[in-house]
Amino acid sequence: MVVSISLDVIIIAIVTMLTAIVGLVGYRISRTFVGYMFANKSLGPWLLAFSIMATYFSAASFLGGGGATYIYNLGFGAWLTAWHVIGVVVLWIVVADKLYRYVSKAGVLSIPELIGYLYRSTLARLIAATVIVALFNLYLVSVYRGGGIVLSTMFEIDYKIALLILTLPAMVCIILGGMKSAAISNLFLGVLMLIAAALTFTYIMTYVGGLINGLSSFSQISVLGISGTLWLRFDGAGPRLAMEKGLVPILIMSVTFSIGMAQTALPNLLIQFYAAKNSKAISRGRLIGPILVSLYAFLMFSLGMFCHLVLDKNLGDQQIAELMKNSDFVIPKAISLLVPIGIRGLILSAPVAASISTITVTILTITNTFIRDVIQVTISLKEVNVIRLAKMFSIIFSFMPMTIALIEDKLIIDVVSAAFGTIFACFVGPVTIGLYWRKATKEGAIGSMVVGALTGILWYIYLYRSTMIHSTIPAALLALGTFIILSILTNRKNV
Amino acid sequence: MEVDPLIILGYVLSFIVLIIGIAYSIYKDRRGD
Repeated sequence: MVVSISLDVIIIAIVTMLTAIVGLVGYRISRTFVGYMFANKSLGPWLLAFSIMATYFSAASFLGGGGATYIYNLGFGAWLTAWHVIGVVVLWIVVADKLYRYVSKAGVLSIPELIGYLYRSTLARLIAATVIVALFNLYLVSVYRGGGIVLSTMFEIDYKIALLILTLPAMVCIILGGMKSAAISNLFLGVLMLIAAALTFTYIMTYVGGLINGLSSFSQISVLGISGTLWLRFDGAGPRLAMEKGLVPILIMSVTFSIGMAQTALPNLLIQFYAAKNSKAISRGRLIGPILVSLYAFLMFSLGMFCHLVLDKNLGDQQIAELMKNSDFVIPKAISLLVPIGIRGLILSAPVAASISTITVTILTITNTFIRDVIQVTISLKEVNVIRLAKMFSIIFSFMPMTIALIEDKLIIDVVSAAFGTIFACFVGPVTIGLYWRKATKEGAIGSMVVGALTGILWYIYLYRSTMIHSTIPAALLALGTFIILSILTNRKNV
Repeated sequence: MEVDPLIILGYVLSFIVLIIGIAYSIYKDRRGD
């Protein structure tokens, strides 16, 4: 239990209600497919940049990202920040403009349709659609799960009710106004996340007496018998198993790379460039987007270790040991100690905001793919029926992951955890590199998606814990290798 | 207090990449690209 103060609960309730109310804004333009899915291509640079940032950062960025260096040394925070900055700069500078030009030229309306267009292959399009629908549903399970556990623990409510609190505002928002509403609510939720990050940083840094003073304190403390100086060494503090095997640096680099670089190829981010008002929105967003993501990363990702100075003297060894296994509650616990009522509610609404903003656009991405690349490929429908179907499937895709999030099964939890990085591995070749590489072929694209999906899931289940190498690394390497080799082989044949 | 150079490298790299990204965006924007 972290918070049971009613004012804090009221603030979080207001945040979730506002998200649903914002849905009304996009209602008028959601009567056509392009209006519903792409906001009538009306998103300006600020909406675009904030929406992409808020979609990318789920509750895990605030809780897992914020608390990680309670377990890991400061290197985790440094490299998680670095890969996020590199990822967002690549996304906006290398991918965004090129993708927007392709989409405008070809008139495609989904990521699988783009793949079908790039490689002149219906099979590649169908495989891309299958990967997106399956893996994004699984990824959403982890978003629901993370947000649900935190909400239920912080406010002592039933886990199922917590899941509904996340699902209903997100669902109402997108049913009413589609992408336009999702983007506007993401602007509001993104601002909230940045304010919460700035407040959290300020409260914790003020308490420890500033950055230098905080770091100096680590040469004088120990945590459960582990010297504080290990938090300042890249091969120092980390999960116990990784420390025993001497694999902390490998674990840090593979996990931080997987999380930070995924931005460059996630369809739920890329699809938002389709909704840009014009190329000016992309060129202005190119300046705003990287600043927003970098600011959030700098503020949040290194705070966990300083929470030892805030929390540990108030906790017993048992409680510290629990937080050293699961650091998701480190930031909420520190906030509940340092921050007064009211402001505390504002900060703790950030993980809720982060979950909802990720859920809305991701559901739209799944729905868009299902309607455009599965239904419309097989049946010809009137526009009005397409919209009805899209809204109906938005409801189905809102509840489906929520239902799976109720199942407590180790295999399901593993598959769900692997989904995020696996999506990146599947699309980094066919989409991100395929936009530039003219010699890429449909065989390369299909092989890359199949190899990426299989390696990402199987490595996570069977090899991640023993090797301490996150599944995204081997999945992306093998998928890229397959993409390049098959493309070279089959391109020569075609010529 | 001694912080591992590999940790400092992560933060320094973040700043450098962000500044290059901002400078490049401004340059492209001024050129009208």
